Amino acid sequence: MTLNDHPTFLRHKLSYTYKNCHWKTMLSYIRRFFKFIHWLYLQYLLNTALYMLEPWERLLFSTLLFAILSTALYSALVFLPHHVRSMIQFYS
Amino acid sequence: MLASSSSKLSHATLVHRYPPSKLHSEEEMSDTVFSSDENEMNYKCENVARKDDENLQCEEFEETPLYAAILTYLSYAILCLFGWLRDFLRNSNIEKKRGAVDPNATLGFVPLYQSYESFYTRNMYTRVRDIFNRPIASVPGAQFELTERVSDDYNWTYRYTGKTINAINLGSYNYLGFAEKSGPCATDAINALKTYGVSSCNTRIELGMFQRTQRYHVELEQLLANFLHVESSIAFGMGFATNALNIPAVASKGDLILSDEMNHISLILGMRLSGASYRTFAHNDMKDLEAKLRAAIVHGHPRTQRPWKKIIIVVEGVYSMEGSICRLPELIALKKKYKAYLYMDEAHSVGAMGKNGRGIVDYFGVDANDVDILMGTFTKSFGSAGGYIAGKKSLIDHIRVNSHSNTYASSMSAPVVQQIISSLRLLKRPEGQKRICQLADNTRYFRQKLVDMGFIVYGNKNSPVVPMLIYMPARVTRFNREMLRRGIAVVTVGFPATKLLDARVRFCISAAHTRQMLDTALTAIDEIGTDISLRYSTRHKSRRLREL
Repeated sequence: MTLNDHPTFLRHKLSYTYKNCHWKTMLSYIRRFFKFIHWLYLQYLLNTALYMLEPWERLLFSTLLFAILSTALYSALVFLPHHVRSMIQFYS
Repeated sequence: MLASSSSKLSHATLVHRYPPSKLHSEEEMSDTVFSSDENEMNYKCENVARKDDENLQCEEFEETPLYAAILTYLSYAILCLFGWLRDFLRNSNIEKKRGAVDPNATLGFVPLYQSYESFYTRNMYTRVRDIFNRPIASVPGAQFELTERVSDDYNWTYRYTGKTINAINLGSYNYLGFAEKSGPCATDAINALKTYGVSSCNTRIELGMFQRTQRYHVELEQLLANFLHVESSIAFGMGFATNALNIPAVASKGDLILSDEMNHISLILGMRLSGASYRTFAHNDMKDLEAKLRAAIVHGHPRTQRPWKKIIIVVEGVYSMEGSICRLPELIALKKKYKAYLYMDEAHSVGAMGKNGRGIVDYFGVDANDVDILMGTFTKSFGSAGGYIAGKKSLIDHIRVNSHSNTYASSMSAPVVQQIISSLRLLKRPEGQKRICQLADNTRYFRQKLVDMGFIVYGNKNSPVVPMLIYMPARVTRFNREMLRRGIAVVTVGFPATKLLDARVRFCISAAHTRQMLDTALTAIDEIGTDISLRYSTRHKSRRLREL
């Protein structure tokens, strides 16, 4: 069971002439956007070596990463203004 | 741009151009049009100005970019963490143990084998094991068949679907294209098989030397000595064993061996077996070597301060993991100045380098008698198996009597010897010269395109071994699998064979590759390189293939 069943190199070459109607070019932009998201996800998998791990390990790592990052973000959003204000008060 | 050899021409025309300066680095060197016989290879042969020493030794080893190093360490750290998790699950019996388990431990015995690398094997290597050790189903020529295998349980077991994949072969050591199952060499080998059978059933010294109307072993050694311009040579059945078992014949306790740090394991094994002391010097660094030589001569043995009996410098012609070439002229100058001996292992360079295919000695244009012990193998360029040692007659006679592999290993098989004899004879004819030219042309073209696209490629620009660096393990596996999906089989190497950071893909260019095959491969590399961002080089601008 290889991990790469995604047919990446089936490219539909759309012609971007002015004769095309707007919804077709809109569709191509949406397709390119999804391809870009897929490319970003692939970069995440490759740079952290999750590409070599099994799906449940990927889920575990991503869950842990998301939990840690979201906790850090939440604490920053809640506590940072108060800390910055008290620091300014302390040093002025 | 492509000069095709037409059958209408009956003479060879040579067009020389000046060697390229730094401004015009894309200019071709020259065109040579040979008259073609029944060969339909279209090629363009280039003649390099041989006397330009700086041009011959042009090597590049770009430093690792910082972000690549950090991401590689991060990848290995995450793999390690998950390795510990899985090992914990396996040891506490939550998950079944899949690998081979030593049954002696359950019976109360001490474990029979303990490899400290098995953590790596279980948790990192086995996950991506399908990219290594692929079984092949045909002769490994320029294009070959790979058996298709599928795994249902993440590479612990395989099942074969029965189909084969036709792929371009960029992994076999087939430098001159002699890996073919039809042609003059194959026909001669079959005739040799019919005359003498497969095995000689004895060692060389006892009853193992074939001689009737064709004097196989003797003829091989004479042909080889003429080919390399040395006095005499001796051939053995296995290239690894040639190194490992003949270094003890020339070095012993009380000698000093100075070896390059990137030397092959067969040389290191031979050095350890001989009982001599050995030290390593930095890769291709002549200043370091000279400093160590001077220190060795001045100080002698570390404990007793007695002078060393002799000093041998061991280098390789072309290093198979780096693609670099040893600096032979400087080595010979050093050797003569300090009265040391030089042992050169030309496993990858004999047949592949040099104007006439004679190896590094031919490439630099030095006298073959300056290198004391020339060693090489027949596996890479001659399409056969075995190794040889060449040098002065007194040396070879000494080895004949004192070598372990001559006395105890069984002698070479007749069809194997005949393949080497046929390929050596072929190399003297114009057809062999065409192969050598084609290899040089392919090598330069492939390397130049890769470097222009912005990939980091190590080594000398004339060596047919092309290592391209991909630092992270996940990118290595993705590259390998994507290349196979596009029909190109490559060899990627990772941690134990290279340093932890420097995982790479190593392309082996062959004379049997046509320009079209190389273009297919370059297109695929370009696409995949963009997909997984492999263009690390800061010295060369990153460009797509269509812009070149």
